Amino acid sequence: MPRDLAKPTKGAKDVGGGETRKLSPSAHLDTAINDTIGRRLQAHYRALADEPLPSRFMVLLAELEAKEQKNGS
Amino acid sequence: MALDPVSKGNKGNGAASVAFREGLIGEMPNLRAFAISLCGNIHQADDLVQEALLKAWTNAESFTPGTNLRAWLFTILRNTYYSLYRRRGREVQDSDGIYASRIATAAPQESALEMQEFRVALGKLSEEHREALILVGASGFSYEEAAEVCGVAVGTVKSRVNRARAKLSELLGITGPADIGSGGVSDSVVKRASGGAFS
Repeated sequence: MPRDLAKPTKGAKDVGGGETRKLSPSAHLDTAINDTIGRRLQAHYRALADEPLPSRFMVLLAELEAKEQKNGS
Repeated sequence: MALDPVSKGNKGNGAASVAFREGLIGEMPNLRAFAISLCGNIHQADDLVQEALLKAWTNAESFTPGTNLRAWLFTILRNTYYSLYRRRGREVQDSDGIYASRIATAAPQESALEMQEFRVALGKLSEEHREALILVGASGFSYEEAAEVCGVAVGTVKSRVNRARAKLSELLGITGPADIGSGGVSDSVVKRASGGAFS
């Protein structure tokens, strides 16, 4: 148990929590809340970023490049 | 004076242009996630990303290789959003079902209901609070970088992130030990975060 307490909370550093030892109960609570929010926020964002990209982005890049090469050389 | 090939290094066939192109492609998923967070729906977000990519390409000379491409792209996308898209109104809920299936993989520790509640709460934040929280808490920016992207002082970003967190915890009902102990937050979170101090 004391060893667990001495460990920084996993993920807490991502949202500015830092080490959990020597914190007051209310600071513990803040860390727990920030940890929960940070984890859900990252999961939410990851789910968005993991969506397959529409092909139109690569099509656009290819068109822009083709245009450039035509104009450039 | 002859044209300096370095000045157009991000375009053409040189190494810098290849790196720039690869960088753009690499940042696409992240840009899109940020765009969805701003717009609230995927279809409008894709238009926004498309617009931002076009602008980035057209203004490639203004990017200095070796500097933070992600911050540069996010700034372009954000400016485009505020000048062209914002007035169209934000759809808080996105009807796409794809998200629901992805979220289970992305958030193995959270229940589908918890994530749904989180998403709704995030949509209720003010625009500036939401974007600050996303940039710092999810997109991987430091407070300083986020301040640069938003064009505000670092202290402003910090304050917005803190307020966003406070508002979220209020909306989600996780403001006190009782809420964490018995409410919507799983026990494992409490144990892991507090080392059992609440027991």
